[in-house]
Order: sequence, then C-alpha cells, then structure tokens
Amino acid sequence: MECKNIKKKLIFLVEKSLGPDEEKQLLFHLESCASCREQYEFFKGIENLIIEKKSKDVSPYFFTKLSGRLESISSPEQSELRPAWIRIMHGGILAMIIIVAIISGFLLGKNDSKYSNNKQTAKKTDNTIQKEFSVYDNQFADNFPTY
Amino acid sequence: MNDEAIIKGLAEKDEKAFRELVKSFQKNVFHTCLGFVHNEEDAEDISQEVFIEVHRSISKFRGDSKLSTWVYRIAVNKSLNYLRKHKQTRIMFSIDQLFKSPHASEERDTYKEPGKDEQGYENKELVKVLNKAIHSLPKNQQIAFTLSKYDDLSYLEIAEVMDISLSAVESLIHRAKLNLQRRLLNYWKGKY
Repeated sequence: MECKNIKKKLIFLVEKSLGPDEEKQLLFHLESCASCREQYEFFKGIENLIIEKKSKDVSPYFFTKLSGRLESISSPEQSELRPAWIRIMHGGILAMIIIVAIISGFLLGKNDSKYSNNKQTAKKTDNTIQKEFSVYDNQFADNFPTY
Repeated sequence: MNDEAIIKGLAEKDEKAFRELVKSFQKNVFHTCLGFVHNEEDAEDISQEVFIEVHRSISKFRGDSKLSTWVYRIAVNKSLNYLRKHKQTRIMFSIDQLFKSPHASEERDTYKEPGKDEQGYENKELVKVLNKAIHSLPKNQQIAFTLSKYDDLSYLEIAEVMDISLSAVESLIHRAKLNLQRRLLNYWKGKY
C-alpha cells in the first residue's frame, strides 16, 4: 500500500474505525515505514489529548453555584417589591446628585479663582506695605537713640 | 426519576426534579461545552446557563424529542453563542487546567518528540493547534465532531440533536476528520 493512501487513513486507524483487514494492512505497513509510523504516533498523541480533556468533570459545587445563580436571576417577588415608580425615583435622585456635583464643582472653581485673585492682591499689598515699612525702618534705625 | 417526571416537576418548579435533571445531565452538558470552548471555567459557566435556560423554558418544551436531545441542543447553541461573542479571545483554552489532570504525565509519553526535553511545552502547543483546527472546521462539521468525540454520542443521537439525517451525520463527521487530519498534518510537516 502506498504511503500517500496510508496517510489519509491514519486518523481512522487511531480511532480504530477501520475494518479488520484494512487495519491489519495499515499496521503491517507501519512496521516498515518510519515516516508513516511517526505521523501515526502524532495522531495518537492528539487522540490522547482529547481523551484527557474528556476525563474532566464539573466542580463538586456546581449545583450549589447554579442554585444561587437561579435564585438571584428569577425572583419575581423582588421585582414586586420594587415597582416602576421606585426605579424612576432612583434614577431621578442619581441625576440630581450628578447635577449638584457639577454645580458644586463650578462654584468651587469660581471661589477658588476669586480666592487666588484676593491672594494676589494681598501679596501686592503686603509687598507695598513691606516696602513702605522698610523705608521707615531705616530712618527709624538711623535715628534710634542709643544708650 | 424518568424524563416525564422530571419535565412535570420542572414545570411545577419542583427543586427535586431540577436537582435530578442536573445530576443526570451535568457531565454531558459540561463535556459538550468543553468540547467547544476548551476552557473548564467557561464550560462550567455555560453549563450553568444551559440549566438555567432549561429551567426557564420548560414550558416551551413540546415533547416531540427526548429531553436529552433538547438539553444538548441548548448546550450547543449556548456554546456557539459564547464562541461568537468571544471569537477573538477564546480560541485557545487555559493550558494550566488541562495539565492539572493526574493522568497527564502518563498520557504525554505516548507522543514523543526526539531531542525535546520539555514535553509539557510540546503538548501545550499541540493543544493549541488541535483547538485551532477544530475551530476552523465549518460549523456543522464542528458540531457533529464535538458531539461525537467529546460526548460519545451515537450518530443517531447526533442526528436527533442536529435535526438532520443519519447519513448527513456520517458525512459531516467523516469530512471533519479528513479536514482535521489535513490541518494537523500541515502543522506536523511544518514543524518536523
């Protein structure tokens, strides 16, 4: 049997889904053909990966988590306790909070700029006063009587 | 509890019936989802959504198919919806979860790459390649292959789930295997 034909059937050989005669022929070929045998081993590795994945199981807490999830999703009693007007009110309150925050921020910013203006004026005044005093200081110092 | 009793119990929101449903199908549903998304955490999340959907929609179940068929259909649809949403990021599954299996080291020995010391790294790459190859299959081939390979469903059961003929299932699975073989061989030739 040619290698080309053999290689097309390797995946079926691994799965043991060939007829007994065909399987025997292929296995006989693999004994003498290194290339085909390598590819066969490669597919066997793939098959083993799938078998390994199939051995996985759900976590032992699967039902507990599922029950919790189901409870939180489907509880019509909860929606009855929260009629539409409450939900609208919550939205309205949230909107008001946002507006108040914006206005507060605006006012704070305005005060801040006013404060910084005052600060600059105060600084200027300070500087002026310091200058005036410094003139007097020297004069006073010069004329201060010593004992 | 038989299917009829479970269905009746679910319709009456009986917790015992729901518990029985989950107990009967959780492993199968999990394997179906795992076969599509290749990540245990995600597969578990989707499995929970499947049971929530069954719980929610039991009144819509007409009884013209088996309960298991209906549950598998929901599992397949939920998995495909998940993949559609996470198309970009969920092609590769969490490699760490795969290698937490106690049998991992034994099974790894079957595929040997001469000269390579890090078998774990090789297998990780192989897993990625396998998942990518499965995801690249046409949708119906992917569904048929996954149900056959990961759930061990018979061709007849797959035909019921997919609502197609038995011969169509045989054809889909055969083509899926040939496609996978070709894609995996291309990887193998490129690598070695």
